[in-house]
Amino acid sequence: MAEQQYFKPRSVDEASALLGDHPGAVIIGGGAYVRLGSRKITTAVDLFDAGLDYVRAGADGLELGAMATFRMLETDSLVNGYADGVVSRSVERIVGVQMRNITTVGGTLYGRYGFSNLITALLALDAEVALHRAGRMPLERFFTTKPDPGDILTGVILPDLPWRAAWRDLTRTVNDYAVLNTAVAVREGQARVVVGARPGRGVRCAEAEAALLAGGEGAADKAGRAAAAELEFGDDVRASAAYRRELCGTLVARAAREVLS
Amino acid sequence: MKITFALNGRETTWEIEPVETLLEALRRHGLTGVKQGCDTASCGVCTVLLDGKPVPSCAVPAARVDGHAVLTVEGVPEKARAVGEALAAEGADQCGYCAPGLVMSLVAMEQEPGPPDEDKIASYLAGNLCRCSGYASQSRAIKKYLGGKP
Amino acid sequence: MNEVGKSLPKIDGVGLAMGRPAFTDDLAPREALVVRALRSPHPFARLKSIDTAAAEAMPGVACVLTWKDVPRIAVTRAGQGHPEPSPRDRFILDEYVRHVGDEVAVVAADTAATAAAALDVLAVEYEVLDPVLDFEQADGHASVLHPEPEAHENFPIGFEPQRNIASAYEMHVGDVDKVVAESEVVVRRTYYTQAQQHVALEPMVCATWLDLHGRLNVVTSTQTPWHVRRIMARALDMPVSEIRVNKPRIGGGFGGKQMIHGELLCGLVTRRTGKAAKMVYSRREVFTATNTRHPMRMEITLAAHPDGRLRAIDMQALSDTGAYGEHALTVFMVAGAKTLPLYNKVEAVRFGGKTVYTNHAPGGAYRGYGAIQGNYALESALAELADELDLDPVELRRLNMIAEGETSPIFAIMGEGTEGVAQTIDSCKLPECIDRGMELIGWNDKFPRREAGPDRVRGVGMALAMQGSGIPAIDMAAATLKLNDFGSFNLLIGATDLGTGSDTILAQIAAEALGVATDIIKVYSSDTDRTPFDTGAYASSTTYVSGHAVRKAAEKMKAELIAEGAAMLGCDPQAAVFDGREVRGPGGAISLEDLSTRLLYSRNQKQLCTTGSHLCEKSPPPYMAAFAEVEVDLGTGKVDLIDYVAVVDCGQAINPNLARVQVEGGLVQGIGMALTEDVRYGKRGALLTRDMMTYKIPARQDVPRITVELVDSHEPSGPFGAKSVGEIGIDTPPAVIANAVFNATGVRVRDLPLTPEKVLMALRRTQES
Ligand SMILES: Cc1cc2nc3c(=O)[nH]c(=O)nc-3n(C[C@H](O)[C@H](O)[C@H](O)COP(=O)(O)OP(=O)(O)OC[C@H]3O[C@@H](n4cnc5c(N)ncnc54)[C@H](O)[C@@H]3O)c2cc1C
Ligand code: FES
Ligand code: FES
Repeated sequence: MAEQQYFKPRSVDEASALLGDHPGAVIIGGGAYVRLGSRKITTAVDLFDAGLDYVRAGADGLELGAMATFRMLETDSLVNGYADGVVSRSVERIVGVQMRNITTVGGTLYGRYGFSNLITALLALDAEVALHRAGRMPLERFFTTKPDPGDILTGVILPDLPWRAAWRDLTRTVNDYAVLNTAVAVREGQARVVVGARPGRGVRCAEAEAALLAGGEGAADKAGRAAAAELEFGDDVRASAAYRRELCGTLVARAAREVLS
Repeated sequence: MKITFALNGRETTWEIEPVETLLEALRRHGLTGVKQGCDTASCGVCTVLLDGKPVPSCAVPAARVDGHAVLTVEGVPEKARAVGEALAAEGADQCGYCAPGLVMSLVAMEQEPGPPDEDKIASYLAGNLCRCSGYASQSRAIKKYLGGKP
Repeated sequence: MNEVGKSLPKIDGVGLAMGRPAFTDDLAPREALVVRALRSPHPFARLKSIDTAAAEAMPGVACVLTWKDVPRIAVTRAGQGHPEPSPRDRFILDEYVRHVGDEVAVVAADTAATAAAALDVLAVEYEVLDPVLDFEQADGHASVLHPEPEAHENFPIGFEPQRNIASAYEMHVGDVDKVVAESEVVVRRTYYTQAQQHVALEPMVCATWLDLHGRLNVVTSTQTPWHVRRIMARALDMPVSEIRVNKPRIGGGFGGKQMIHGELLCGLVTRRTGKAAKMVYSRREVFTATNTRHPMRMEITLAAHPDGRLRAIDMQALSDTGAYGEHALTVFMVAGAKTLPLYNKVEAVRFGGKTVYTNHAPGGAYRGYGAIQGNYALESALAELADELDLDPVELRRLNMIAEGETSPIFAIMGEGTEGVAQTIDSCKLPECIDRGMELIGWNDKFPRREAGPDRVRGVGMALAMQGSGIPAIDMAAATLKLNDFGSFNLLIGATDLGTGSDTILAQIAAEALGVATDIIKVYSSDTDRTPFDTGAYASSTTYVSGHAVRKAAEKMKAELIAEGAAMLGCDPQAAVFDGREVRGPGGAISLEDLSTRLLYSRNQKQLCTTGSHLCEKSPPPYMAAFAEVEVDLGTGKVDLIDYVAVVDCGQAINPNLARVQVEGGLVQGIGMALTEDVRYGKRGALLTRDMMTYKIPARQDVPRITVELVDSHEPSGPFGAKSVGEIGIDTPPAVIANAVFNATGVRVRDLPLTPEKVLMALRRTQES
């Protein structure tokens, strides 16, 4: 067995240097998933003390540090005040307070989890991510680029935009993973409809957004039908593709109705 | 590797494995109040406070707590007794395996702002599963415990 | 009564909340070797070879065992009486693995990390075999799970391994086919129940070591210490007398610990190495490698007169026992035995079918033990009949249900694995339970449905249930009371407290019978060396059976106290009384404290020690009427439970709080089975639900308002009027919730659980047609 090492850098720069010195090192964010994976970790770089556990108003918008926990997103007044609190709503029922005290923004985005509620919510708000090496980029682009295991996600920026937004998901028990989740957001001339846990990762649905922008009678239901028709769904232990498609129509229409009202 | 941290208010230095969880390290050092339940941060029986916040010790690397403060049920005997008595008065203490984790969540909840109304109790304790009691008796006991405090 | 009927606090509650060492892993020797099993990735395979050399060569590895290293003695791991009614179809380790998670080999090492590393280097060659994954195809499948010649039944249970049949059973009263053919109204339906996992929060855990006499000591989280000892002795080929089994506090059982788990492997490691060993299951192992509730298919036929009087019931079941036949026959029989007597006025009744092997995790005991499967099918079918007859479902029950003073032929015909025992029902407060339940739920206002906002509708449903109180003519329990100096008592009982509070209520029974306060009774339980025998905590037997044993021991103790007190006072024992504090005669009195102290130290010295034992002669059923209101989201199919009302006749509640919590806890497990809990397998037999993220038990906010009331009742044959209460709570939710969903939506889901998906898809189908 290789000698195992555990580092707790005090800054992002120090963390980055450690990653450079130890190829194959694994970043620990919340750590909730790192141990679940079956891979054997030889070098761990834990960002717990790296100063990234903030939520703050920045120059370009609301800044969520990579080590901001779900519990912080749930309780922070800035996050609750942003876009009708949709980010808070997306995480506030996940498992329990204990788990939400450890799971992080950075670990969730870097994990690119299909089931993720947070990813769905952030995508609907045109969030940007900040990476230590690669710099800033829209979250959508981050998901289409190949992850760089040596880079560090330092935070998320939510631009100062007057979104009206709503959250819907369906879970089997209150604190289960979503069978399907959706965030819908609108502002002057813009609409976002994102559906995740399909079980694939949250994606925008152009036709549904167009239906919302077109407005008029029954726009919300049209958006729901469009999303159900356009998106891809799959089977997993929680539900079948066919059910998810039905559910998508309902949940998107309900979220849309809320933001349009 | 060595870690130095405040365990139940006392500076403590332990030799640990770099990949060990806090749960494993605590139990290995004889703190048996913290229990193993699900191994996946899902049940709450391993709850301890890290810097005052409840966390699932099964998902926290032991190495992380170096330089921080950990509180376990062994560090709050008076509260634990009071909660235990409240549970017992309602018959809510069934197997008792979930009780120490529940105690720790309650200790943390009491530090939270705002009055502990029914919804808040239910959502704050959502991560503390109990398979025996069906929760109703626990809720009765917790309400009495919170109400009966000075 | 002074002590019985009081909600005294559980005697161990505070210590447990404080986290004091109490559970098996807390008490296991610190130096114990860590035992870990290598588990099969295949649902069915033969082990062609296992190369253990690399593992054995690792520093810190104490031993590696494969099927070649274990005695070839067939056992069952079901914790049942002797001889067990389950087939002996298992070895400590075998050449075949029969489900994903089955044990391939075992290692013992000085640390968990070394044990894990040693497992990684075991090289196994598997010959993968075609698995049986669909229980409806198991009988006659080309693959045979148990071809081994050693597998056998202890007495006829219908064991036919070459057809993958673990057990079979048939019974009938009257000519069902004829009555059905003659009847004007006939309802025929098929229902499916799923596998459910116990999810006791403490996983399976045991530790073993040799004491100074070289005897094998076992501390284990079990419901049945005596059965563990007996089966260990058989499997390890050693005398029963050389084993001591002790159950400390246990973190929930629910039937899951009425099975042998790590004890055989751990015991073998200790025997081979001479060292202490312990085995703590990971949660994944609990899911993959322990037991579940037996999934069943239930085909029900009800025949009735147009006015609702039932004429015949036919229940044909197929049960899936997975890879091993643990509790195969007995769970199957209970599906009929603890449901059909509820409707005792039929002209004909028939029950039968078989339990088959598949390459799934084995079935086993789980609270309800077949009754919940039978209850879901029968109580759903009755609701369907009521609907067809346009009768209020409550009225249909009232017309047909059993009443005090009546009997059912089924009691005599069906026992658990054997014939039953005839009995007359001396306590049955179902009418009161129904009236009170209707009032609490507001049945007359709410039946069948009401709108609850856009896309939401509410409906109510109901069901009745019965259970038993111990297994008649089989369950035996014993208790010993020992008088100490300064006037306290030790109560030594074999009974096994699973967190249910039985140590407390048995102390209450002793105190009541003696006339003393409960807190001077110090309980020590469940230790095969140090307490008298008890069959174990299952079949809702502890209060009724062990409680009687305690009462008898206490009555004898009281008589002896009076006799010794009278001797000291120099009076006739006939003229003396014991009032709980002192023995009083015509000329004076002596306090319990003085009497006990003198008896040990100064006069006519002797130890007072009395033992009572009790064989269960009948099994009076507790009853329940349950009602629920649900709200169904017509856009998602999600069922939210709004209100659950359960009114119970459990005889005299010895400790009302603990009785009520038994029901509340049972209900929530039943609610989980009704709505979310579902053991699922992939197409190739891998378990998909192997952690608590995929297998969902109810959390605090999932549980609605629950109202449990106990009606006044007194069972003449019970200790101080008590019947049982441990299982009845779990039986009703599947039927009650399914019936409420039907009343709300018109949609009938006949396979559990009622997931949003099943409900919505059924709604869509009815909308289309
Ligand atoms: C029991 C349980 C239930 C859950 N239920 C839900 C649910 O219902 N809904 C939901 O949306 N989510 C759920 N999650 C997922 C959870 O919300 C998190 O998304 C997940 O735990 C990952 O977050 P983390 O901080 O623990 O990441 P980690 O486990 O620490 O890391 C995840 C990955 O990201 C990498 N990483 C971490 N931080 C960074 C960084 N700053 N820069 C670069 N790479 C990084 C790690 O190396 C790792 O590969 C659940 C998780 C658990 C354990
Ligand atoms: S063991 Fe940690 S949350 Fe269950
Ligand atoms: S009392 Fe047993 S899990 Fe809560």
